[in-house]
Amino acid sequence: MAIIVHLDVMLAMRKMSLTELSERVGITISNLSILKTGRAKAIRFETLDAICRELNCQPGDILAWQPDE
Amino acid sequence: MKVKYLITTLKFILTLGIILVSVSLLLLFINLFTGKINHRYFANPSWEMQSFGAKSEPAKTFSADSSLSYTQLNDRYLVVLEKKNAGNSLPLIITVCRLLTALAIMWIFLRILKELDLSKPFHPRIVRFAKIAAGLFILTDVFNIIEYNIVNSIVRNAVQTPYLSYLKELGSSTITGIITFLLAVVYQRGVQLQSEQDLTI
Repeated sequence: MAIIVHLDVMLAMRKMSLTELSERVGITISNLSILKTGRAKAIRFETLDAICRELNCQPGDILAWQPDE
Repeated sequence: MKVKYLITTLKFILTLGIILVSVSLLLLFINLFTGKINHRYFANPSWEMQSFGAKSEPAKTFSADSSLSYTQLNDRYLVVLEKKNAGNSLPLIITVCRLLTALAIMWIFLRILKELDLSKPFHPRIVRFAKIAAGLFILTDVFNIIEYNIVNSIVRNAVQTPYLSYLKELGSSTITGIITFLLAVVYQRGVQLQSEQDLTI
């Protein structure tokens, strides 16, 4: 997919686990896992808002665009 | 009435239908293999037929403020063919095929009802079942058309008769099949939307 999710990188930089983020954001681990592995079809603004708030980052830090090969 | 109870009732009716059709088929096969052949189909096959054509002058009745005229258009006959030949078994074979198709349709609808989860109604397996059911509905009409032609051919070739036509409803199953197929296509879109919804975080 052209959109790359850098959630794992951000979690590693913040030394935060997926479980901790899921508890703080209020999203299930399975859904966060779908997002982290790039299987998600879409992301709601409220989810993005919550993740950015908890990780103290910008949406561009989590999402990146990469041209298809 | 709650939808849940409606589904349970439908499941019961379909199960009953499957049992009845299965028993009918079983009895038919038992009769065939034990030699107690159903005389209706072999020795003296009979079919309900009709003949079209104006029979008499239109009759007219009157009341105080209106009149009504009526004309007899068709006659219905029970045609009994008293001649045993190999061709007479063809309608029976078609009937068995149609019964098997009906059995398959009922079984598929039962499976659809079993798969149906009202909290998450769109399931890819239901789309597949609905498409198969649509195909089977159309197949039923194909069998009807074949039976119609065979019976007409048997009767007309046996004895010189006035123009008689086998009384058979044709086309309704095809329309049902087409509608079922269209619903399956719409349902397929629902499955896609639900899948996208599930993967929206």
